[in-house]
Amino acid sequence: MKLLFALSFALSLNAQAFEIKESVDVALFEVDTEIGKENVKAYKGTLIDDEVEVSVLTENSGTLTYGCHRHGPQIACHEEGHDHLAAVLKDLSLTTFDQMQAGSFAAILKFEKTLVQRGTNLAAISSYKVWTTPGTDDDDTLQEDHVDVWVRFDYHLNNSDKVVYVQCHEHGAGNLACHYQQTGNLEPQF
Amino acid sequence: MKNFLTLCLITTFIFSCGKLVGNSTGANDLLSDGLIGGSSAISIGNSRYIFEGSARNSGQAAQNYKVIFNLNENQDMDFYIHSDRKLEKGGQFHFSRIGGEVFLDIIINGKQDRKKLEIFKNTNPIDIEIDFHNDHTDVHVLVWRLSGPHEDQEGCSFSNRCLYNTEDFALDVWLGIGKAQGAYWGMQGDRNSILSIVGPNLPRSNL
Repeated sequence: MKLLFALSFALSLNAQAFEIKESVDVALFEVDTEIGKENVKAYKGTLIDDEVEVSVLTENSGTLTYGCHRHGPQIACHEEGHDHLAAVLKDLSLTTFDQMQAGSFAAILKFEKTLVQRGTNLAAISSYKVWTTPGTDDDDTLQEDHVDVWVRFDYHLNNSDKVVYVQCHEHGAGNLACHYQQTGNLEPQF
Repeated sequence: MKNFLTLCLITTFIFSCGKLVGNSTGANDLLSDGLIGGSSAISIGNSRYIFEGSARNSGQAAQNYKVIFNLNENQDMDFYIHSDRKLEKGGQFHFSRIGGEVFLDIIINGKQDRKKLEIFKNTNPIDIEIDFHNDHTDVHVLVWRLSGPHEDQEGCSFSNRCLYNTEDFALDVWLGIGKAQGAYWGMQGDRNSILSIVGPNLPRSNL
């Protein structure tokens, strides 16, 4: 669980998934300016009416909360108060954070293709959550230099609510492969 | 006279030993039933054959297989990958021809899907290449025409850049399929219909 990161977006059925992602990205830029993104342990985005609330957990459990909404063509995020514990922050791998971002984006693109093939699109997503676990190689051997990125999609298709997981990991140097899974490994609950 | 007796003894020994191998003793049944499509095979009865060689890491690996065969009207042909010695487990690839159309049924751990391979309608031989990725939680299967194209990306089943990609049907069929349990590979059907069969080799795709 050392490398556990988490991200959860809650979207309405007809919300624009990438607008929510943009809100989270803007909030993370703010966080990076304040404490450095390498100290982010988990973050969660939730659509509440017309605003996206983004909560960011740091390595020492301090929480930064942002309210993000659209100002014209741009998303603006305002810090709404936090219990940031300004303690010594443990250095985590910047690469891990980047892998999480890359993996979640790859998973979203993959799922979008699947949804389009079924006559719908990302609007079918009601929420998604992203986290990482220690990485494995092609023979399921633990690898310390990279992580597996997991994405849970809650979605609505053919008049029923469904859940699917996507596991993204490296297959060979630099190659990110994503596969659908029935269950998620070490899924965080928050 | 002494030399003559020695020569007779040697000759008798040679011919006797010659009779201790081959079909007369059943040794060949244990070692090999000859080549099928260029690969050494053992008969296990009922037109079933196990091919020489096994998948890496006791079958917990990604491997590639290639086969070229003829399939006549109303004929069936089955190939087993990452299976057991009885060819009862693992991945089963069942080919059939009905009304000139070729159908592929993929059966793994009790889950099954069928794909019409339109490219082989009224056509022989059938050339197939299979990547069987059995190295993670769930099996991932890619089926191509041996002569290509060999795309491995999401959606290749629909763009005809591959014949079948289990990832394209994960939500419909394969979710939670698990791993295949076995390292052997084989076939069931008319051995004379196999023109070429090769495996297991390293996978073509690294996905």
